[in-house]
Amino acid sequence: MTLLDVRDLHTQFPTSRGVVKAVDGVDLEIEKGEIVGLVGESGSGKSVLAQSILGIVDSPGRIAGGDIELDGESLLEMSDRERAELRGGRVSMIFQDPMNSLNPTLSVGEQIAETVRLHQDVGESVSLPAEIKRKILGATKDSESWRRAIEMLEAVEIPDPAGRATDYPHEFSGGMRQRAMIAMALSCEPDLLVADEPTTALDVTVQAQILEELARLKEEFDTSILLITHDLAVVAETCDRVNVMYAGEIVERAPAEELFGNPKHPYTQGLIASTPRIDREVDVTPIEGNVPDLIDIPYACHFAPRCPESDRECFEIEPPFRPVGGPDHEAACLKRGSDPELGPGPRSGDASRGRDRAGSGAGTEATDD
Amino acid sequence: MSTDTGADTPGFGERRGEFGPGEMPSEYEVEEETEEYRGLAGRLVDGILGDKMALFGAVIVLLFVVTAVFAPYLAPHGQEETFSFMKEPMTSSTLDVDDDGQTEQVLHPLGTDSFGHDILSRMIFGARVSLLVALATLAVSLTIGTTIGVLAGYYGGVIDSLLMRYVDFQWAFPELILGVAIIALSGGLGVINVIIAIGIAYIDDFARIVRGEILSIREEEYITAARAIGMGDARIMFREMLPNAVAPIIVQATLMIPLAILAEAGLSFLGLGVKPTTPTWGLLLSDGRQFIDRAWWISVMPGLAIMVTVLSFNMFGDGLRDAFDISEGEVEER
Repeated sequence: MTLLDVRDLHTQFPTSRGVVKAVDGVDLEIEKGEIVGLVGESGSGKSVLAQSILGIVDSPGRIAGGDIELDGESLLEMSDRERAELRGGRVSMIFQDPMNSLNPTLSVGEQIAETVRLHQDVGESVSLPAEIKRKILGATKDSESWRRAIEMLEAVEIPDPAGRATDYPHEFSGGMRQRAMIAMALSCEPDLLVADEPTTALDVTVQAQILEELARLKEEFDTSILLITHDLAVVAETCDRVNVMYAGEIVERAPAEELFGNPKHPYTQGLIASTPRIDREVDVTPIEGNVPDLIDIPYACHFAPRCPESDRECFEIEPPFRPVGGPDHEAACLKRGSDPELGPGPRSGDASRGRDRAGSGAGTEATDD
Repeated sequence: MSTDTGADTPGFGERRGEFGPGEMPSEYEVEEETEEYRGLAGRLVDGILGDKMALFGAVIVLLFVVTAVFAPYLAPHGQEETFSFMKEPMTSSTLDVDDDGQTEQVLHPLGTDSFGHDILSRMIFGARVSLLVALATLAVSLTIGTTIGVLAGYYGGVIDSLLMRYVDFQWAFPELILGVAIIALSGGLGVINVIIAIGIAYIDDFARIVRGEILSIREEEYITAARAIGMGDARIMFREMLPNAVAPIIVQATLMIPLAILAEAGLSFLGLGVKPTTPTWGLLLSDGRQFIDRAWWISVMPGLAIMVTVLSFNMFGDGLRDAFDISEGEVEER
């Protein structure tokens, strides 16, 4: 069952140089209880997409078109107040930098307890005077919300949760802070957790622990996760399905195994080719060039100028999403899908091309034309 | 990429007992030295104690506060009691104090003024007014200034422009002139008017400092995180942001108290302060002005008191600022 349905979303930032189209017509679906990956280079609009879903796009950014539905309810039609209630309650988010995403002036337990108080009816007032009174009287420790906070810290496997809850963020290590952040995000058992590069700032051993934790908590709390990262290894390890984003657009989506075994879009192939491998000797081939300035890209396929296979029509014709290869595997590329004989990718072997379903692409689910 | 793991290289801790990897002779094992974390209060106390000027300031400030609070118990005489006129310091009046028909010697350590008031007693009571005015003005300017700064810094845009243009407007006037203007507008003397006048005059300092602080805090990820867990604007401003801006506010507050004392003294000196009979340092100083050639002590004693108090508050405030400034402290230690 579809939990989150993003349709043709456009998020734009008006600047003095022109309108930056950070998210330019994105479709994204997340099923209940599934981990969906969103990969792409820095500057491809992943984080803005996440912020759009949460409704916390920084001013002057705004959602210029499309719709976001959670359980069939349109988020964009909600009032600010309803939206704020949704955040932290049904939709929650964790951030890239655990060093900075906890408030240094509040104890970790207090921050989690506050989230609980804000979103769950534990019979504790959340008005400012009530908070001040609570702070002065120190009544927090006996409260239901505090008890929940300790439970959550325990759930994310922080040792001695009751003792550590009174600690301040600077007394936590990076990995523990990210755990605390996850505890905070999950404290109200959200339906959807958006994890914006949750492991990027952590070293690899801690990274693995956090990913395991996320996967375990997904089972425990039955939460869907949108995992945003530029780290392909993280995606391969954790995700059920993967969306590849480039310059504000999704260019390919497929189940994780299918995507890595059989990447179709030239950009995805480039991404995978530019990842160093430890298990075998591969030449790391970087994708030439940079993500284009997202102001008024005049050509149709945003990847065309960097694509080894592009030709004139790539600049002129908007590439529709077409089924390529395995089930649920789609790519937005003129050179893929309906006509598999055109141009071999830099790394896609003959085997993978042989599995293309020749001529199956009837241009179904085309979104952008 | 391949790492050379030779066969004779033992794994970590495998050769325990013969000093392989993972073990070392006990004499080489050092307790890991970790610097004990000092809480904010501890750091401040350390900072003040380690700074002689700040310590001096803190002691005088403490004395000032104690004097003000316990004025009736500390003052040798009541504030309205009169003795011989214009007695020099360390001289005595000889008069019948307790109405028993006999005269007594009454010592005046700082002399008496033109009305025959004991200057030391008046100054001790005056400390009360000074402290009260200073704290109350502080409360006024801190509350309003901080609110303006938080709103301007958080919302930005039009709200920021409007509020900060008002602050700029106010900044264009010297505080004392502004205070005089506000008292003139409000009409009438009195402690409350002085408090409002000085308080409003110092709003701009707080507004600027807080706005700057909020602008940088606004970009912190924990503020985005706070929004992502559904906190409202007011909550983010006053619960998430303000506590992080508290250090510069406290420093500004300690530096503002002496300014307020000075402003009150100045207004009183100009005759625009509290009622003429209220003992304040500014009024005492002003009263002695016309007798400066005959009785220098009437003006000089309260003047000294103002100077010492203001100086102490400034030294204390500077010490606090240094103690709060972690980065500077760390640089000095290295």
